[in-house]
Amino acid sequence: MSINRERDGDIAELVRRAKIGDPKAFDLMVDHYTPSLYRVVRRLASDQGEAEEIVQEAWLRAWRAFPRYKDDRPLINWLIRIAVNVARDRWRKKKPLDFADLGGSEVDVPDLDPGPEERLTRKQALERLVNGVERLPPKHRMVVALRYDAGHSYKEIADILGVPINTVRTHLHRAKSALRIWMEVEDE
Amino acid sequence: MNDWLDDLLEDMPSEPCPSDLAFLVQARLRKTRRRSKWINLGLRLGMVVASAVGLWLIIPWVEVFIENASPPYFSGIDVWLNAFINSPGGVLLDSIEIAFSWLSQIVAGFEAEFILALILLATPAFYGGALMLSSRESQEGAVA
Repeated sequence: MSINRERDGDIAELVRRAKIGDPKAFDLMVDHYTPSLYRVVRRLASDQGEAEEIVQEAWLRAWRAFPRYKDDRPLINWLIRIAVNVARDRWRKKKPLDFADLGGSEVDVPDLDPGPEERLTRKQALERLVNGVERLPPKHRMVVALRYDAGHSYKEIADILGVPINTVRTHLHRAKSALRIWMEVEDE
Repeated sequence: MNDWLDDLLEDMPSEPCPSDLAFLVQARLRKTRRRSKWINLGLRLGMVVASAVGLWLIIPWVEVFIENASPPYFSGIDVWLNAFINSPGGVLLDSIEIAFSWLSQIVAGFEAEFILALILLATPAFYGGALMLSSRESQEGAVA
């Protein structure tokens, strides 16, 4: 049975079965949600290996905590929250981690019009942007990943990270300010 | 309002998920489940053994307990109430003293064996209670 063809109702049924300890139902959820989870986690992690470890650890924690999962929030948000906690734990252990801070201060960079992407090929601009995101501090990378890779709203991001919505706005603003500088410098 | 950076961020490429990642997760989960199954089995077996040893240790003490636990002499509620009305402080102190001496009489007969038996019986009881509570919690969570 391909889980990708499952409808929402079937997912709800899988969640119900997994909650009462059905391992097959949980494994089907792993099939279904791992790619989405990996997409977000990969942006947070420093390399593919770390991303895979975070995803695996997140699923193990999810399995242990699953009886306590409440259906009032989407399962993917709950999983991402666990993965974010796993990532935070790893960073705490690894300290000090050398993340280049591209300027935490609130620098208001004027919007370039036309944007630098017009002078580069879009592919090159995207590659540079990815490099820039990799150099952001972890908390800024998290909001970027949740906003642009997972497509969450500010409120959802605040819920996942357990921070006020204004903190999300600030982190995203700082991340984008830093990325603008990065793109400009790279462009010169 | 979206600007060029938002536009780029939304289009940011990401590495595809390794095809075997879900399989690796499932393999680790299987290993974890197997291990916790064995741990639970061992714990349950341990609790059964503890209960059996506890019962075996406590049976000879039942008779001693019944003898020691015979309630103290009590003249009757009406007598006690009359005495309490006349001299509440003195009667209260007497009653506390009787209760304490009764308890110490019960405890005096016990030896380490008896205490060990109680611990051996109480541990499986608590473990069973905790299991029941957690299974009820997960069932309630499942139907919520």
